[in-house]
Amino acid sequence: MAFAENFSHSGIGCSSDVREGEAFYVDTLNAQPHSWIGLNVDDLMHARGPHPCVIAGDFLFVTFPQAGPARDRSGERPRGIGGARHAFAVPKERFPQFVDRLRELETDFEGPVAHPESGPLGESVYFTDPVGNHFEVCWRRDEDHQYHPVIVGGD
Amino acid sequence: MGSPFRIGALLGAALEVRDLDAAEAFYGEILGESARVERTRGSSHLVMGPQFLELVRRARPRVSADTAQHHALVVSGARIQPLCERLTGEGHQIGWWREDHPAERTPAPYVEDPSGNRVQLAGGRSTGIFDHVALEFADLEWAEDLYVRVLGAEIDHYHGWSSDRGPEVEAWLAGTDPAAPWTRYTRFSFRSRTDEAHATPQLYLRLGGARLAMFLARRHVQEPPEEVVRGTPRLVFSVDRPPSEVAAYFDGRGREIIAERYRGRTIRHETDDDNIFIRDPGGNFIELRYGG
Repeated sequence: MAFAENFSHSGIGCSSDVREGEAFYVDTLNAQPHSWIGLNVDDLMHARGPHPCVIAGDFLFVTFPQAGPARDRSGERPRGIGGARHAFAVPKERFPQFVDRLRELETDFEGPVAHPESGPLGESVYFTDPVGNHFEVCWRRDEDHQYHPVIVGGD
Repeated sequence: MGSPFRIGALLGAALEVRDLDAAEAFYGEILGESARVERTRGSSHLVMGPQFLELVRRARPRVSADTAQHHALVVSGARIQPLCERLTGEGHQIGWWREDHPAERTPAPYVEDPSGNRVQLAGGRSTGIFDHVALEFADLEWAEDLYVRVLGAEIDHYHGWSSDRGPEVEAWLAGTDPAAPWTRYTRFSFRSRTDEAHATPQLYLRLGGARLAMFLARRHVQEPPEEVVRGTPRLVFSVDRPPSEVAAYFDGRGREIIAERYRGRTIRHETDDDNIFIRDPGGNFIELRYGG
């Protein structure tokens, strides 16, 4: 058992307009809106403006407004250049539906990219959110493998 | 699944006032001769076209104070300037401010009635009384859940959902932008050791035939006791289903929607003949009239 048990959440700048940012995660990843921070009178004086939390699968995104202009991504591949990206897996049979969804939303993406047959990954598509954070959605060749169950909290 | 009913026209609004005669004279002057006055014991109705304004006498009226709450009354453009001059001559202070909705970017006059209810004089043409109504909430997320997800309002516009302060907010802080006081707030930053200004989070809705402007409160304001469901100030809408069906929805699916984020919370309501009364999370009162 690792000392750090699981990857819990990411705090991520998503858009200068946080409602637009939330919509991206909901529309593209089918993430579920969870709650807002900074939308009550007690938070107003302390929070850095309203920002939403969304849940994709069992993963929590705490999104923040991204100050300043969006990153210039011209000439950049959507899988990132040495940068971190969040990768989510979907079952192999649902992968084509996800690719269709990206096309339907007119989201620029790279792929599907086939991975080596000896590795754990099958295919991936790569795309970015409104401010250029990198995302990947894949299916895994080892999806039938039973991993250590995710423990969100408690014993 | 949406709500099983549809909220229709804004039929009217009820406000608390200290002196009925003074309030009648004030609103009569703004609405003009076409407003019909119906006085009953303890209250007065000003009726114009399809809408009414009910003035309810209270010894200590619950009024706008320095909250965002205001009622925008329609006044023909040609009447605004002379009306402002008359009101100023009568001792009223007029504030010329603008707001952040695209339709309100030009400064407009705001004035308080003799009891302290803030009124905006909105230029335009209408057979009724109200252009829009602004409400304030200590929790804007809860308000959005109720008005949009439960009552079926549509989001028309929003503002202040960004940490990007922008030149407008800086101009307001410098005193060169006449943004209304409730559209901005300041806080002392311990990073920059200066006062930083921000736009107050705002949500603009279409509910039935009405435009509602909803603002996050900048400080706590005492609300009526939680068990009070019928009260004033109150907005009155028509609804196309009888109160029993609306109440069943509030107790069922509507309650489930609110409980998703506010565990254990309910939608407080009471029925009375063809009317159902609810209290929103900001302590604002709403009446839905079946067949109204």
